[in-house]
Amino acid sequence: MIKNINKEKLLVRIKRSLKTWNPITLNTKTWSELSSYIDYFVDNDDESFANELTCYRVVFRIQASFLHIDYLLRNKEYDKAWYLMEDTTKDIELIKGTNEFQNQWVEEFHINNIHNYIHNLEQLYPYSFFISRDVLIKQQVCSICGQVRKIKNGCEHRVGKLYYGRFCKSIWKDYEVRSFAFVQNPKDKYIFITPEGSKYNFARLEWLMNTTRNPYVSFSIENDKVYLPNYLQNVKPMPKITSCWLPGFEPHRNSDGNLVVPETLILRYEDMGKDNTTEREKVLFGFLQHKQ
Amino acid sequence: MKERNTQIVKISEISSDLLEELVNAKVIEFIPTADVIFIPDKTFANDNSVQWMFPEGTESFFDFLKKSEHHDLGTVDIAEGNTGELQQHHDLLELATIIITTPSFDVLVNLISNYIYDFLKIKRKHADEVDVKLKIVRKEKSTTTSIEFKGSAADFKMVMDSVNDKKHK
Repeated sequence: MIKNINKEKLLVRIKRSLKTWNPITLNTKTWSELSSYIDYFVDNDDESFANELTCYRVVFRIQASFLHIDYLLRNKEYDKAWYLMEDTTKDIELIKGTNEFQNQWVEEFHINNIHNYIHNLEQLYPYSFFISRDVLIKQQVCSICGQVRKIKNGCEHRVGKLYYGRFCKSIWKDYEVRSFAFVQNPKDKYIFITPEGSKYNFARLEWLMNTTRNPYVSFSIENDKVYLPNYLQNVKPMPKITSCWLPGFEPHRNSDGNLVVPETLILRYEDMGKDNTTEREKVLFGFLQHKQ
Repeated sequence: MKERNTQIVKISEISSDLLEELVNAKVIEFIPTADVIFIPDKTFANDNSVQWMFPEGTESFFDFLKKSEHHDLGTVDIAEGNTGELQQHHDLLELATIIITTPSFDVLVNLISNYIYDFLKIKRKHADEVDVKLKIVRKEKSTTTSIEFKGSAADFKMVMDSVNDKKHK
């Protein structure tokens, strides 16, 4: 049971933790208590502060994900790192779209650094084809009040905005997946395609992880060339790869000349309005505890 | 490097009344009387039934223009009724079709341009990395013109301004 919280002191504690960089030292105790604080301020009719705390909760998640991505890449768990990168990008875009977002946070809490890092990493991945879906959503309801969503004559809640410390989402009630398409630039790159029997070549990522062991060291990519900080210039050059496939594990074609791709495609529940925050945070807490 | 689509602006005169068509199809009950009206696009479900859909993100686009209502743009409304949302997950900013009945075409283009800028800022993408697709139907006293743009976000304002300049020459 939380009683008489000093808002100023709580903010100092949160911001002190979120401002750390190289290394990031997240105050996991404060983070784990945030959901209780959010509930407390909602119960005490301080919706505005509850919403602000929800933003900090997302920043905690972004920073913890950044550390986890680096850990996964060092352990060559490239697919898992990819999914987390996509989720983190969504978190960054989510928080930037809120009314509570403060522009100084991008520098103060290193959001731009993390966004850039993910964007650059993505370019070193060999994944090049993704599944894009085409969905007709005939009816959806508001996650805050449950009313049928309408742009003009529905409830006043807006997707991606914060109400009572919760993000408003649309929950699909009646929808139809019309088609799937193989594309190079989908809106979200969550579903990449691995044809049967093939393996991707992660040589460039492997090289980077061996080169810049410190994830806080920024790097840039221009015209497919990686630019590292000066003191890392003399390291082994990045391997040149001619194909995104690992030699010997190229995709094979069937008798009709088509690639053999998995028959099952996944539509993520999160995209349909399901809140997976708790599950995701559980994984990140577990990782941070393991790291400590 | 992302392969770019060729930039296209298609200008054509249309004779049918799109709003009346929506009433006849029982999508909406009454024709909105605003100066700027968002309308759904016609598409087909798997069983070939006709569906009227707004592209994903229309809610925020509508709110954005609504904020500028009466500031030179005029009133803003949406022909929403028996309509849904179409989510197409390719990397394209697809905006809802808009009918404009006032001479404020340039104001509308400026506002859309600002909306695209805000979108790119959140996505942290350069304008030449994202394609935009939208249709503006310009209703004037004697003619109705449809202006369809599909091309790079970087070219949007310049191309649409040139369409407007040509119109006034």
